[in-house]
Amino acid sequence: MKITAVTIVLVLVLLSGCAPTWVKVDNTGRNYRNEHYSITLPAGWMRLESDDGLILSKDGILLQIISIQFRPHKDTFEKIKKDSSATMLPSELAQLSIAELKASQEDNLPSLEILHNAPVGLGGRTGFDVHLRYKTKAGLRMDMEMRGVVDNSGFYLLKYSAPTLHYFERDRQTYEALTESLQL
Amino acid sequence: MRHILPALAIALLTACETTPITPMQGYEDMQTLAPEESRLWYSAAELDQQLQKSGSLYKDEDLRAYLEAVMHKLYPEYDGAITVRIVDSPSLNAFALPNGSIYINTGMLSRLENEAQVATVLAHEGVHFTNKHSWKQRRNVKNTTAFSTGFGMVIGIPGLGDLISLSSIYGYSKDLEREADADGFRRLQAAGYDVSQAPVTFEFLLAEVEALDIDEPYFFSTHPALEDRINNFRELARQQASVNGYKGAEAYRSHVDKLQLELLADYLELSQQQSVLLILERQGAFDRYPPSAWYYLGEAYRLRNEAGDTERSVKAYQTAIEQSPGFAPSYRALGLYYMKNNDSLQAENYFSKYLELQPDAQDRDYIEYYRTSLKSGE
Repeated sequence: MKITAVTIVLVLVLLSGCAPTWVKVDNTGRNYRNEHYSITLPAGWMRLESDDGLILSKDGILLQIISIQFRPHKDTFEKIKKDSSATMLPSELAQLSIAELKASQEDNLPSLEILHNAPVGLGGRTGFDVHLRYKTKAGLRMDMEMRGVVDNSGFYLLKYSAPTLHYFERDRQTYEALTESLQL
Repeated sequence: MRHILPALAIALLTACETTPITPMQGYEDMQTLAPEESRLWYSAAELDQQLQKSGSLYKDEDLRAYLEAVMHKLYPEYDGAITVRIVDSPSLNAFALPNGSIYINTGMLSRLENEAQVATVLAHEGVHFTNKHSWKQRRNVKNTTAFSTGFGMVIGIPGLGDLISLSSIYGYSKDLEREADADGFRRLQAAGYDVSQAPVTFEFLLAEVEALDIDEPYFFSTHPALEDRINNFRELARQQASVNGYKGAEAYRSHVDKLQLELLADYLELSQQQSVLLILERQGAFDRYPPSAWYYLGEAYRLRNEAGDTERSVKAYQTAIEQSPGFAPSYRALGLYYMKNNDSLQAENYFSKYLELQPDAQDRDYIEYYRTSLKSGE
């Protein structure tokens, strides 16, 4: 009985709009800005703001997902218990970002393959660009690209992942245009 | 359906508790199985297949053949029918399936120092198979759900939980573990190994478990606990008049050199520098590891980044270069160090040497970018 009441309250809270909701990005709402960065969002995509950052998808998060995260330098990489710093080199940031990813996706560790790892211009600074491929537990091959950079405030990470077949390359240019619009 | 089958089989097995379970005497006994045991073997074979397909096995046929040869020395009457496979996982573990498939993790292999120590582990696991401990344990299992929970994590391969409820490898009783210790010890002795190495196998693993503040590795987590097991083996070794058997340090090292370095790199990739430090700061570690391991020690200090670690890392990189001048990553590491300390000349020297030694380096783009930045004074 108690559980039923709690469930009803939770449903009511969700319905009343207290939880984060997906919003369609229209032409007038493309310029996104917060206290750390500004960025131009792709029109027609859906966006969701959460405590962990901004999430974007066009056809649903199983088909493609872009996330934009800002983390302060303290406890930046939670899984591997590492901080970032403003003086970190792009290759060091890439190394920690890959370690964090591996630590959070333990079951995919054996299949994680790094296809590209190189410096890239991001937000007017030099960051890293890593393209990797892995297979989910269900056997679906996925591609992921992540670009990251640090400044005095913290670490910025933009990730894009989609099924390797068809979807990843289809929306990759949108992701690249998004990262190029980042301003710190 | 796959989830229902184990439950049905368990029900069948627990309904047939009157058959006496006697240890096998050799290869011939593997050909004549009771129906209940056949089911266990069938399920174990399925688990073997799952592990093969999971991509989690370490592929080094030479090493595998070497371990099977050690197993054959320990169990000659089984004519090589006990197979050994290597799980590519840094966790400290080894386990046996009821059909004679023995698995040992790369993490475990990397910690062992000689053939006598790996024989200690294999002899112990072999007893679980020959004495049909899975079957015996099956009869005593009261909670098969808890039995199977977390198996994947236990062996270092998540996502393989279902079939293990049939294979009876999770949690042998205190008596069965003691039996495996004692019978395994006798096997070691009969095969001519230095039995004084048996307790050593567990002593340094205990030190690591304590230092990392982790749960005891699964291989030791059942009864008796790790310290009890060390005491068991010390007592068994003490009772022997002679302990001058075969140690096989050189033979072992020649087979695990590659694996050991790969595992150090894996730990660093996961920012688990503490494991690298525990391995390489151990007394005599560099007698067992190739000189390039100094580079990994330097990287572990750099990642730990405590007071004095920068100096320690630089010293380790320099030692790596002195002792293994053809090993490229040490030059890159020093190049990065000097670049961060605004010594452009030294940084350029080390970077250029790095790329000279490893022109197809995966991080070449970064190094070229750093060199350009140094030249332009950015």
